[in-house]
Amino acid sequence: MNKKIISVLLAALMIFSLCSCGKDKGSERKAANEVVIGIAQDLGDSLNPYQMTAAGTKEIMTNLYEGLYKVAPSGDYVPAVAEDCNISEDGTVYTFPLRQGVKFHNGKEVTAEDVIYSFKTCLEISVDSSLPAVLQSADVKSEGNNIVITLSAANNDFLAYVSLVYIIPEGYSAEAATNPVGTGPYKFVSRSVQESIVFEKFDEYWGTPASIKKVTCKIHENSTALIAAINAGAIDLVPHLTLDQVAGIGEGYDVLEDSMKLVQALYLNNAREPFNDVRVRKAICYALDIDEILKITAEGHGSKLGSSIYPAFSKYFDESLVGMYPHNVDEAKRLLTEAGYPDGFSMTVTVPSNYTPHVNVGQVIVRQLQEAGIKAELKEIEWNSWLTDVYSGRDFDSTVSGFDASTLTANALLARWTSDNKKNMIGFKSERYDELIAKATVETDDAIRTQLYKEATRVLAEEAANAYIQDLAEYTVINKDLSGYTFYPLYRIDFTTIYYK
Amino acid sequence: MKTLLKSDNWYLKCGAFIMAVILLTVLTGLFWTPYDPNYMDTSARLSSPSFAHLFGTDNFGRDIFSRVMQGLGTSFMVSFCINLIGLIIGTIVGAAAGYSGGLFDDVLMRICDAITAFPSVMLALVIIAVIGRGDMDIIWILGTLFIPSYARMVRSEFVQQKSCNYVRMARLMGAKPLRIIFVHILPNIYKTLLPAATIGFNNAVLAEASMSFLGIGVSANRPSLGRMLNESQGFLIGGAPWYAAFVGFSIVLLVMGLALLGEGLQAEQNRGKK
Repeated sequence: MNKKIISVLLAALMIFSLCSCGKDKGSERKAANEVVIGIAQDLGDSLNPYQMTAAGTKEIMTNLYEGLYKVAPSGDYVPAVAEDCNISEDGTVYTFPLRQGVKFHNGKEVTAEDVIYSFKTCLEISVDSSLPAVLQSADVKSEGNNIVITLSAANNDFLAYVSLVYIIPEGYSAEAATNPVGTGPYKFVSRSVQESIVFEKFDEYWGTPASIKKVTCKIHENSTALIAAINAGAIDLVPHLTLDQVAGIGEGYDVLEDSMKLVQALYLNNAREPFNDVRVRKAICYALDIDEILKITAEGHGSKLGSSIYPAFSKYFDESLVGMYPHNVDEAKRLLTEAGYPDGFSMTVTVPSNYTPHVNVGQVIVRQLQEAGIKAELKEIEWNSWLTDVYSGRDFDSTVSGFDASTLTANALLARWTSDNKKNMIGFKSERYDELIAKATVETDDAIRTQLYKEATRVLAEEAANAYIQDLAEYTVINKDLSGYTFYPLYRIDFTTIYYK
Repeated sequence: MKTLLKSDNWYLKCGAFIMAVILLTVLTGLFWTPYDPNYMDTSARLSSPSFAHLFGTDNFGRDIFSRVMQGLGTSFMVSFCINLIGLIIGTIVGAAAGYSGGLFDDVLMRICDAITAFPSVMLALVIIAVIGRGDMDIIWILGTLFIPSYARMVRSEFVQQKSCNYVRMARLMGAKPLRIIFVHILPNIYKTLLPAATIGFNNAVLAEASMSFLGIGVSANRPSLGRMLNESQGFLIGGAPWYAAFVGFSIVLLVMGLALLGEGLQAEQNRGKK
């Protein structure tokens, strides 16, 4: 009898302790002023500021690294390690006075030598696709407390590139891959691959101090496990979730909607028949029902696009291009007949199989194309084959994919479609487009420049270079006790603005 | 049929019954499904099971029951072809090795050993990574990987039968090796081959489902059970748990039916030996 009572009590105790596990952890974290962020990809690549490749790594490491300038939530570039920036009349000489008393996480103060070293190392080892070319033409010197950079030709996007040259202590490059040191509001504590990266507030930060003391980025590569961890109360914040994932999340969390900041389109191989005929490309645009795509894949969420610029990029986004090709099967068929394909033609829609949003959209597109009489078929390939065959090899009919912007510049999204750009995977050729982009790159007057870029996006739309679809909706789930999460117009998770209510 | 009903071999009975139901579903699915399996109904995304949609709908608003009907068909067809390749080539290899013996036998069997040494799904992954993927490439890739198991079995039977008197007699009478292999020995070993083929069929169903689950099996243009299982896992919590349940249940039913049938056939064969 006694034994029975004891065992029942023990069982009750166990159940009780299990129940309290999940809930208490949350309030424990609140008391300790800590936050756990769920990350859906492994952050196993180099933490060296110039050799980070995964977008997931870059978006959290900006809490640790800073350049002379950095990007603000508004999309403007604001001073960081530098105090200010003076640009000469002709736009070729940039003078950055260094901010006084900026310290590295190792306690050393930032000197002009560190900055010079950072620029030099970045040029040597950067894996960024466009940054080295820009730095190549820049001559970096120190004059007392000033950094003077002389460009061989004016470049209006230069500050955006400067913000990518993160400042590290002189001679520190080799160690930075595993034990990063920067000047940012958070410092590195530890990393265990496929598990977590831990950051701690840097008390001697020069700017507005952060509120949260300790941030743990917990890696859950499997999305089902990630959702389960959120529901167990083990995670406070998760960015980049889809609508279907958010549906499975219980109480205690706020859901914030944002966009993925990429241009998702049915990219058409303009160099290949029959897509070299503008009428065929337009027919494909008319055949697609974007509203239905959004409705099926995301219950109508997502921002429609008309060209290679997404709405978060408000400066260059031209709203009037969005409705250029409304869903119209008859018009699509008429254009196909005119182009000499009254019975349609066969085409494949290639999708990278690891990106579910692209695969899902691809499945709907195939059906819509079939309705317009085009014999479309879906072809899934894995990401590496996509990179070699589709992106580099240009061996495809059409592909559903998304392009993002590495820097907040129009060129980051638009320059790739100029005729001889290596990244012009669709083989788009338009003299007018090339001319507009070339003009815009050297134009110094901002208003005229913006106009030129907008005109260029209009050319892409009118030529139906691609069938533009959307900037996908994505969701950030955040603990109800937390507040202050800020969205950026590019990939970034800013720890500094978050605080417990 | 009558003997089947009267028999007390319940494995065989249950297996045959389940397989008959599935086969009927598959055959119906070839000509008719309640809905077009690829039709996307925007207004009925992830709706729960009802009379309109027996198994509910998936995240595209496609009818899951219709897709399962055709998915079963895909599994059936793919597994059948995989086994046909394995069985035919495996029998030829096994017969040649077993009948001739010696160095030839050794070399063939070591090649088979080498193929079986790799986990089959991993080997298939490597092959697909190298040659790329077409719609039905999975058939010949898995088919090739199924050869060794059949070859080994046929070989051991041949080694056994080779020393039997009827084979010696045939040889004495001047029968050619090919005639001995195909006319004399093969008909005598089909009873061992049959249960092995059902088990092989079973393995093929699972292999195809796992490959499709990993996204490298049959292409998305065709409904496939493994692929549906993969798509459904995102909706396990909260969204639509029945999606995964129905698809998983179909796979289990198919595999169980085949397993019972195989078991039953084996029992039947053992009884014959007694």
